[in-house]
Amino acid sequence: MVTKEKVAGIIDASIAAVLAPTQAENKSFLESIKPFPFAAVAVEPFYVRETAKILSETKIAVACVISYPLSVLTSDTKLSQAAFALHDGANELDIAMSFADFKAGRFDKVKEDLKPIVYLTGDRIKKMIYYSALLSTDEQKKAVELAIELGFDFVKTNPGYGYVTKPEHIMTVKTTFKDAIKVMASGGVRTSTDAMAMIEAGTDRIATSAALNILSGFEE
Amino acid sequence: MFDLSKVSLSVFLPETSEVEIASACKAAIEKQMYSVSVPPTWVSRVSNHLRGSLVKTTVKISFPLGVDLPEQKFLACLSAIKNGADEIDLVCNMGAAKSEDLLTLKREVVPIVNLCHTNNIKVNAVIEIHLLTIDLLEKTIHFLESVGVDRIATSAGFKGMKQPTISSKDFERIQSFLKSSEKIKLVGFGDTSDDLAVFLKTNVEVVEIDHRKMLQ
Repeated sequence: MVTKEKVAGIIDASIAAVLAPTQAENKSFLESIKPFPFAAVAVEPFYVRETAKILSETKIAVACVISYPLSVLTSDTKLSQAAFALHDGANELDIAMSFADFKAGRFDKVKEDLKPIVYLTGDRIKKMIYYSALLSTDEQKKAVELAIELGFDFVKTNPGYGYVTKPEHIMTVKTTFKDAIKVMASGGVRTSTDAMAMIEAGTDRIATSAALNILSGFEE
Repeated sequence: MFDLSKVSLSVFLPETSEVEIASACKAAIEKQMYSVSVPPTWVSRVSNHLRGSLVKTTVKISFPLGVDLPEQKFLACLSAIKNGADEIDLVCNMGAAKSEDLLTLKREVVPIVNLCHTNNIKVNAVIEIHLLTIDLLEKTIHFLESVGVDRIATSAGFKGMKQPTISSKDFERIQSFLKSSEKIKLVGFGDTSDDLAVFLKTNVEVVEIDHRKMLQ
């Protein structure tokens, strides 16, 4: 049986449903999720320091999104964003791959862009956002291949903001790459039914701005 | 026929192809538009396409909600200028604006205004106006004007955020808050040709339109 605790343990909760939260709104969100054993809280760079402080006595990790949501930072600014996030207390980084380079087939550039951040992150968890909603199945496989080659721990399907993940995206990763990399379903997972569909498809984690709503659909 | 010299074409979704970017630049040159607005990744490419024309390369920094650190925004801006930006759309930290945290806004805006003005580059301060109460909107605009930004932009223009469109009433309200009422970059209005016609008749300085809508 999938319990509430088990589901919480694979969720990265975020406050993304509130656009540009104030620090007070972020704090109140963090207080609301603190009692649950979530895997991580995903925040944007401005909130990392405060979030790390507030969660310091919990086991919930702080994940910071990099070049989010549209993958539009240049390599140098992306690297500095990652450096600031780690300095401020992020334990995990969710980094968008360079989508434009990927679509143009410039895979070496995709790797060059991400490599320094992978080195910088060291043994902390890193996830590559690859925009599965915008890619064909073959392109999804290629993106995951690059993530494995670069040493990412996870691939994160989408950034949210209307880019929706389907269970098939998760199955593509799990059936093709087995345990070579973990996968996080992100984008459009808002209910316990959505979450179950992703779990059945094999997801290792779920990113959602509806974490408490999802938990309410599972039993203790 | 519209006077398109006030129009800035925006191109920023990740799924935009390089062919689309090139055609947006070509259209902007042919129709003598004001600028092409792009994210940092495409500055060099767009700047190259526009070289030799009067069309500016406008770069959106900290898109879409501005929730980056001030230091990070400064570095992004520096990099954009190095890569060929002629004008900066600085998305203000909307979390800070919502909580009237003027210190954070000051820390991010003032260094960038100084940097840009030293390089003869204009700074448009982008605020997502529908995230602010009227009172906060007025205070934020007064503050931004006082620290020397060149224009107020009314939205980041990202449809993924599902924000209401900017109405004529919104536009008039912003004008009333500004000392120089024409210093507006209008972003996020209805995007129909009728809407465009209405706004182009006002004294708005720049109107941003999604390139896919404009080229239809």
